Amino acid sequence: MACCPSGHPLPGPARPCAACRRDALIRHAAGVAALPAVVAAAAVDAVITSPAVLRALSGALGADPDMLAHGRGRWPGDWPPS
Amino acid sequence: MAGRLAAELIARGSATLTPAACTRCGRAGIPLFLTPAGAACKACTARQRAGSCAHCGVVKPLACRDGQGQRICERCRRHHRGQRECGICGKTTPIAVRARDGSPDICANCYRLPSAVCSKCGKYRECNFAATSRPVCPSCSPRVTAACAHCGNDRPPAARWPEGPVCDPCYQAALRHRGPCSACGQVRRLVAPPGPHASTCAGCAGIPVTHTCASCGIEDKLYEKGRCERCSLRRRARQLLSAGTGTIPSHLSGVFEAICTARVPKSALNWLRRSHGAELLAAMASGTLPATHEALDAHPRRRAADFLRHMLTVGGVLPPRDQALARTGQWAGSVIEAVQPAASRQVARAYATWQVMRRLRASAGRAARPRTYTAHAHRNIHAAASFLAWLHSRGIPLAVCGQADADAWLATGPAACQVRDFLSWAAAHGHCQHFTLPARARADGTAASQEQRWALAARLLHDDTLDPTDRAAGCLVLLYGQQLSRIATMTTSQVTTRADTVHVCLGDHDVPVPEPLGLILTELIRAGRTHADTGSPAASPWLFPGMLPGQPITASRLGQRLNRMGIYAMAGRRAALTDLAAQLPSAVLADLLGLAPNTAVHWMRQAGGDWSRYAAELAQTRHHQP
Repeated sequence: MACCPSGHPLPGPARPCAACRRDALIRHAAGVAALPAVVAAAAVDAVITSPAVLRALSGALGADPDMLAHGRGRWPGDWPPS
Repeated sequence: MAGRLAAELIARGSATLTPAACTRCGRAGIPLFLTPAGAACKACTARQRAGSCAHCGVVKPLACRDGQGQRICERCRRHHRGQRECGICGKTTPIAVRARDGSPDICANCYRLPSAVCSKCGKYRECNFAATSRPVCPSCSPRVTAACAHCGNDRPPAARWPEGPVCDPCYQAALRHRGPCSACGQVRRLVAPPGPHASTCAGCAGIPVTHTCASCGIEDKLYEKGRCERCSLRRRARQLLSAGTGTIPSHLSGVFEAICTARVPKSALNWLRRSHGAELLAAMASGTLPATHEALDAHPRRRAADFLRHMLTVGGVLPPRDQALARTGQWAGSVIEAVQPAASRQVARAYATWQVMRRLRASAGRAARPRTYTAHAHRNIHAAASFLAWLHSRGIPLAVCGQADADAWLATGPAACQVRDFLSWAAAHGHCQHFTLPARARADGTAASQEQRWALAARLLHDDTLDPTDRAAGCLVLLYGQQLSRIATMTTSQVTTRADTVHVCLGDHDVPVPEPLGLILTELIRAGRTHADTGSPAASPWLFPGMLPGQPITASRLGQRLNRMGIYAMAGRRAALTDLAAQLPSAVLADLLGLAPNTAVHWMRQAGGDWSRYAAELAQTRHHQP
């Protein structure tokens, strides 16, 4: 089975690793919120209801890392439409 | 989602994050969208997206694009979405409930919530959740409240503006808040800075101009279809009077203008929408009801017909008619019809026709008044009919009625002596014998004390919170001893200003009016009464216009208004005339106040004054030669 560099099993040959994305999100959230990783993981798991949500949130935070701090950013459905 | 994640982190103890809030209205905990000015909630984003709707042309938040790719507002989107014929009202409108199991499509206007006993108020009415164990009527349904950014009251917000939530009264007031812009000087709606102290118009503040009338372009609270109240009124009045043809009959053009120039357009719109008078007017415009006094007399809804009669008279559609006289004639006919037997009815009819009504017509013809005083005629006819009914109940024909019978009738009550006029007439025309009947005793009544009078007058003169109508009318009673019936029919021409002094003409001469009563009278003429109703002329000759178009206020209504303030007209008038009669000779009093000479002498005697040597003293003082 194909694995990502972190050793997570990949669902398909061309799909990025969801577990790595979640880990990155938890690390980012824990850093911004100044919370332990366990607490940040619980918060992330409460929000992430589907892989699509995880992808959208990761993409949004990747584009604007300060989004959590400032409560602003661009995500699908933003105005103005691109 | 980022907002939700931030909220979750904050809930778990993060001290470095703050709840994301809309940069415009400040609300947190709601989805935010990125705008050039920062993150904004959906409502604020929509407000920023305001533009000209491709369909209605109104500048407002745009909802979507139509089939041609043009941007349209939410109202037009709803209007143009799928519409079907309502199975109840038959109109082609948006459907609220689809047809199912044999029941037809129901439009949003016809749809009614199912009824149930509200779990909050306990009343049986239309409820949400009617099928559940806890139905709630719309009145009891919980509504989110917030502190209004304008007035501070905790009310359901009608809008959320940059300054915060705004309650409905403040929302309405803000849309109507007009004044000279501090930047451009034009009289426009003032919107910036946000809040009740706005001083700049939207154009100067760089904010999209919204809520502008599609017809006249005025910035105002819109009433319907993007139009202000005044333009909506004109459109609806035209619709009503043209009977669907688009052309208003020429003889109704005056009525159309009178409706359109109503002082309060909303009131006129309500009249058009739900009054029976408007239905009658529509029937006249379509030709199904003839535009005559007789047609209105025959209509069962008398008040609506009378209101419309005055409107049509002012508009020149109907010729003027003495309504009180006509009404008394109709009333007398109905009263006499009930008199039994036929012989007595014939006598009563002759009395009403040839004595009472003839006298009334002569009185109306002698003095041109807006209203003929018919109370005395009513009392006489009523007394005659009652007396004849009393005789009939005792089996006594009028021809054989004796003095003892008349005395027995007089003992039935204080109003029985009103029959004196009828019996005098009947005896003079050979219908009965001559009777000796005492005249009704005239009570002088009580007068207010001078302390009460001056206290009330001081309040009327100096309390600016009172209605100018009440202030002026009350002062004319308390200071000049005028009757309510005369005050009610005063015209604006009776008040003149010469050399910075206001004069009022109550009798043969102008009387200077001291301030601040002069100011009150001039203000009353300038501003007019605020409640002049639909169809009233723009400029009224009356100092106290009434609710009926073209008519002055009635004396009884004026009395009611004064009573509410603790002013009793008869007592106040007696106090004023007693005071004035003690200071002035009767001839001067009669000339200045428009009293009959005998009445002035009566008041002088009541006041205990003796001006019999006035002329001689005046001649001596001024060294007049005989």
